[in-house]
Amino acid sequence: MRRVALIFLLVIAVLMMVQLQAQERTRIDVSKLGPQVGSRVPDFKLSDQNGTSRTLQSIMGRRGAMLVFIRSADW
Amino acid sequence: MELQGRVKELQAQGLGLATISYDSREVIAAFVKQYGITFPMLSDPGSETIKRYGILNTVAVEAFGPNRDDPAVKAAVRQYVSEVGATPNMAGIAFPGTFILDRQGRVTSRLFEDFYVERNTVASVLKQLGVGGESVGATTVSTEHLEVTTYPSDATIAAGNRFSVVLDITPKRGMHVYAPGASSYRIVSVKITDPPIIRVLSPRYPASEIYHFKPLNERVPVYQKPFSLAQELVLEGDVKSQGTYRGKDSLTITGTLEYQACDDKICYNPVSLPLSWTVTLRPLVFQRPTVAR
Repeated sequence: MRRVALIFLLVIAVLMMVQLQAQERTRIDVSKLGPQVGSRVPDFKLSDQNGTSRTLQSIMGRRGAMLVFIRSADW
Repeated sequence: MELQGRVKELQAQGLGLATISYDSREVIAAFVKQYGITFPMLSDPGSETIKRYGILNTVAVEAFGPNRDDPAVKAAVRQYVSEVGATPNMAGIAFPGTFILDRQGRVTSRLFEDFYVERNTVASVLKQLGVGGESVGATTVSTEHLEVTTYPSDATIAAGNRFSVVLDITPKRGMHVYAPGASSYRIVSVKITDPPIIRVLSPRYPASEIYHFKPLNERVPVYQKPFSLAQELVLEGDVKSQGTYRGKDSLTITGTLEYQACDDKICYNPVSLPLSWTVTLRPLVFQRPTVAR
């Protein structure tokens, strides 16, 4: 009987841990995401509006570039 | 799109400009056509580049995950995904942010601030990055406790637009001001007093630090390093409101910076520092691009 109770308690404990894990959430710190100052960003090959293939090099001005990640052009 | 108005300024700075989003080329092409965009808007339909940059917006997915009812998730959705809540098609977007790169593709500065929403703060991004910030009128005011440089995020606004007044605040040596959560002190905030057609959205604050005030053995959230407040505002766009500013070229907004400063010994009286911002008014209708679906 005691053993059953123990197993029962263990199951409860495991369930509670699962529950806790599901609720645990790391706060997002956007300042830590993505390439940081001084590091080189990954190159890419993406189509622009005209279907022209663009790379990091092709968007550069004479001193560099401003690369803006927008959420969407659609909403 | 405000970025378009910045192309010349960026060119003068020798900077190329491109955006990246998860939209299909068709959506982007329609947007470009509608708004007369001349810079490359790149399409990353599978979000592969966004993922390789490590800035895939996880909140857009969390909004439909097991924690969707968590108030923190809901707040994050408003902050990073959409004011009106997420829809499943939003999975795959990036956290909005800006990188300034040198010719070798190295990051010289970046802006992924919590409360900066791309669509209304290009001007302030440029200003913060030290790129052609002259087009927005910045004012610097110094008090005995702090120095504040303030400017509107956009030089020009139109009916219904959301924009911000940005305050870059530097507490003087040894001084701190109070952050939300501090009781019995005046918490730093921006108050808008006029005109009534400016709606003030709920303020967002950068992370604060805990200060141990030894004389009272008190631990309170404060700002003692330079920090920025961006108070989001809306120029009311309903017919009645528009009537009060139709035909005017500019709009002056007045308000105050409310704060209380203390050093390690003395707490000074609360301060209401008068401020004003002037923006140019522009008649504009901003619509969603029409795409054949």
